[in-house]
Amino acid sequence: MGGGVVLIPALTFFGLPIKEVIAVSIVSVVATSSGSAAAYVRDHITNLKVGMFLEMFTMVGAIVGAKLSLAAGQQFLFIAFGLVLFACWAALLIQPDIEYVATVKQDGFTRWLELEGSYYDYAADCTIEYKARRAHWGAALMFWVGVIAGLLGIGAGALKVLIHDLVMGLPPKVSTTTSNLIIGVTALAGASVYLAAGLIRPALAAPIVVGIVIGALIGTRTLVRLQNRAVRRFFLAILALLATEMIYRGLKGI
Amino acid sequence: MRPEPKVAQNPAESTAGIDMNLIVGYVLAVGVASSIALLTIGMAWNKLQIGHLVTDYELGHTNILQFVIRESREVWHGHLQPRVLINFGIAVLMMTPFARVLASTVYFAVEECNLKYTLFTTFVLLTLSYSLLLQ
Repeated sequence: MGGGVVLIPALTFFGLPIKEVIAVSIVSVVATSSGSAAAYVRDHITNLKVGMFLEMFTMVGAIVGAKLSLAAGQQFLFIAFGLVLFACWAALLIQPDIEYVATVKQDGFTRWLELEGSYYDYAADCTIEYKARRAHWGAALMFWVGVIAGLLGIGAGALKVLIHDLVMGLPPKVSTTTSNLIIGVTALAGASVYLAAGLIRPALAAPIVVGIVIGALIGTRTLVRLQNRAVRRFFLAILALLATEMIYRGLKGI
Repeated sequence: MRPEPKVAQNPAESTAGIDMNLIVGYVLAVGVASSIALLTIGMAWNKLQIGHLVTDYELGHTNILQFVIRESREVWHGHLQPRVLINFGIAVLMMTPFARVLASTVYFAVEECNLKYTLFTTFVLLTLSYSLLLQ
């Protein structure tokens, strides 16, 4: 999970205008996703072809979403943010129960797209081969996830992973790492709209980008020592709290 | 000890020896690391010079291409100030995913000769270029 879902409620809580915060958040998403994607790609888990195909749709969605955000009212953005946080909360809640079902017969379109691959799984000590499926549905849904990412300045990784898992049948490790790769380009497309609108303030962006990248590095090292269930419960509680707070502020008129 | 990775042959890996995963990985790692270094040095310099991490100023309505050219020109002419380093750090960060897509397009066109993915990555590159020129 990137920093946007926590960063935006936190900064708006201190009175910063939501559109400026969204603009800064999307720049920080470029940094965190590119940083983590760099490591995962070199481990040969990310499926570059799945990433290249799906980012065509998320990127166009992000441009549309960012333009919608510029036209939208503050109240709408608060409520939309809260609702998307609830969707991320639900995605995180059901994710552990999703069982990976390997594709037995690939549909023609996905086969034509060459969306398959293999990676070495250290835990299982073997090479996992897989084939994706239903690329057409994945593409259509990814456009809308791109709209959400551009509209609210978040990576929307939880939703992307859900589509990879449930719709396209990718193994969990491949879906998480490929989602990271897509987020960078999606965020850049959105960020360029906010830059053109004059909403990116270096005074806000520079310390946040540096802080969030250092935080992500520390977080990754700390998380491996913590129990998965405890971390999930903590994030579920935080997401529910932030979602409720954002919707409440939106309904109250901020 | 972690076993040597039995690297699986992904479709995006070349049989000719160039590993696309490594190229993409290094482009992203170098881009983010350079950007963070520039931002950190810029803020530290600003703190030493005037006591604040960053002075509040606006970039104005600009597109990424103009922004990158403007900041690169400042660096080229040696007009180094904390503000220029910070702006250049943001510019480098924003150009990192673009460089990754550019590298992918060249790879699919030249190394893999995969027409389908050359077209896909070209579409991403053109749409990104359009977004970079938005004003």
